[in-house]
Amino acid sequence: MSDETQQPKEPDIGVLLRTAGRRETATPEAMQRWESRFRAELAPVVQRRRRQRRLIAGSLAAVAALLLVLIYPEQEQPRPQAVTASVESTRGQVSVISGAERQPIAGGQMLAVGSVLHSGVNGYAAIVLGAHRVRLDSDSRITLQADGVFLHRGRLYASDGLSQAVRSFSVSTPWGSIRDIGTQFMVQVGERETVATVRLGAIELRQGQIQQRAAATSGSAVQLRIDSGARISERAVGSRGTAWDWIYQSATAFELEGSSALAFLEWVSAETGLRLEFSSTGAREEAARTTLHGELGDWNPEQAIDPVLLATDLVASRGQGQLRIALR
Amino acid sequence: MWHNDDTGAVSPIQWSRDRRLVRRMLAGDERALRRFMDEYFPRLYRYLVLRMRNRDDVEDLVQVTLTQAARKLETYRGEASLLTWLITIARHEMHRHLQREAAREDRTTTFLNDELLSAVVEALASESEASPEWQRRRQEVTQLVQLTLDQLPEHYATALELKYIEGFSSLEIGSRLGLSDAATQSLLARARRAFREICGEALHQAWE
Repeated sequence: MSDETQQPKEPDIGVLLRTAGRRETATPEAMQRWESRFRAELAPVVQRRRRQRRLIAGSLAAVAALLLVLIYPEQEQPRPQAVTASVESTRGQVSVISGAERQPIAGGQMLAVGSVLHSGVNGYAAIVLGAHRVRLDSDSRITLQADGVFLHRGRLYASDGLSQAVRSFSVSTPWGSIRDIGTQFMVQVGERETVATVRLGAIELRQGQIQQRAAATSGSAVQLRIDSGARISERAVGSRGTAWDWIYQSATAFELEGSSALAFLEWVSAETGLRLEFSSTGAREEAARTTLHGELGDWNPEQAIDPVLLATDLVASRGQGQLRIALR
Repeated sequence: MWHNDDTGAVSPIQWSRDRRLVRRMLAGDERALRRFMDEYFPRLYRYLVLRMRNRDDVEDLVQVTLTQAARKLETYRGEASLLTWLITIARHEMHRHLQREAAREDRTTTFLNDELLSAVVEALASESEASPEWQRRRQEVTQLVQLTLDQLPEHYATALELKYIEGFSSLEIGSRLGLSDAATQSLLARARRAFREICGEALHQAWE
């Protein structure tokens, strides 16, 4: 006798499940409130346990350290790196929130994991977290995490490539999390949905057991949208234009004076998501040996390309997600 | 039913996973903390929604329960599932809450017992959908099914919801969960079995 003849028939489970409907979920606001409270209550417990562990392990560690010094007196010991983020630049009002207090932040400041960043109505920020650069749009809020950020509200843009080290990076939101797979992408949190747009590389959207991967194609971005019912939709969108322009607001200004044309073009490529291509080896060599003068003023990276190259022997063309550089 | 941890789905393997999860949380592992919050906060919330008649009390009770859970997390030994442990705290807080309110009347909703369940499932096919009796029984089934789903591993519950509520094919479910069709079918079979086991004998009898 088969298992199915001994057990209730499958459609009966279907009747029960359909009668009950989907399980109810709490509001994102309630989830955030509970999360903040739970973290606040758990933090002292974790810290106390760490202190206890350090105390117990202290004598052993001291002996081990002494032995290492005796055995390898001239060899520098690697130090564990503290997980922190650094503020690259800010514009307008951006603050770090601690309890009821808000402290303005500025470029060069270090931030610990767990810090909550808030940008005001005209505030923008660029921070570096591990191998990733994160841009925060105005009226947004994030919590820094060891492996990424939690985006409570607003919009952020993330790009990798600051280091060769392979390190996972994810953006969590009330409606799902987005994992970076070597990429440039933007995430926006709305009242009932999260929208993730990738314009270079690929991302993976997860909500519970559900996951969907999206990869940008040449010249076109892909947008994944997940709503509060965990429904995911996908569509192709532009990889440049007004939806992306806000990221220039928090970009670190490029020092044109004394830089090579190659450095300038690589910066433009990183900022715009356009893939830099040279029509010939000669064009690349020319870019490397050309020194630029002046300043960019209010031009954004896209606007700056033609005026800057006008004074050089190089010319740019754009299309299919490429920034193609040739000799005049 | 919540205390019946001797089911096939909520097994010692699950307790062992729960023990590891708690150890990692206490060590400050952000990923473990995120997993705990994503998986257990909604379950705790649903449990209290189903138990409390007054919805206004639910959010506060979730918060109080989580506060206590954070403070007592070190005492979790993995002798029951983490969900059962959380529910035990929630029940205690619920009791305290009701005492504080000096509300002697019963403000909790009763759980289904086996006899009631049998009657509910039998009646589903026969009662008119508009009748108050049908609505009441539907509410009871909802309770049972949702509590059962929350006791399953989350990927089991998700697969069952996608299959029977959303009406997706196994191929579509596989695509969403990143599994092959064969693996999805196997997952669904395991999920159905676990669902039946948690519902228990009452469900079997009702269907026979």
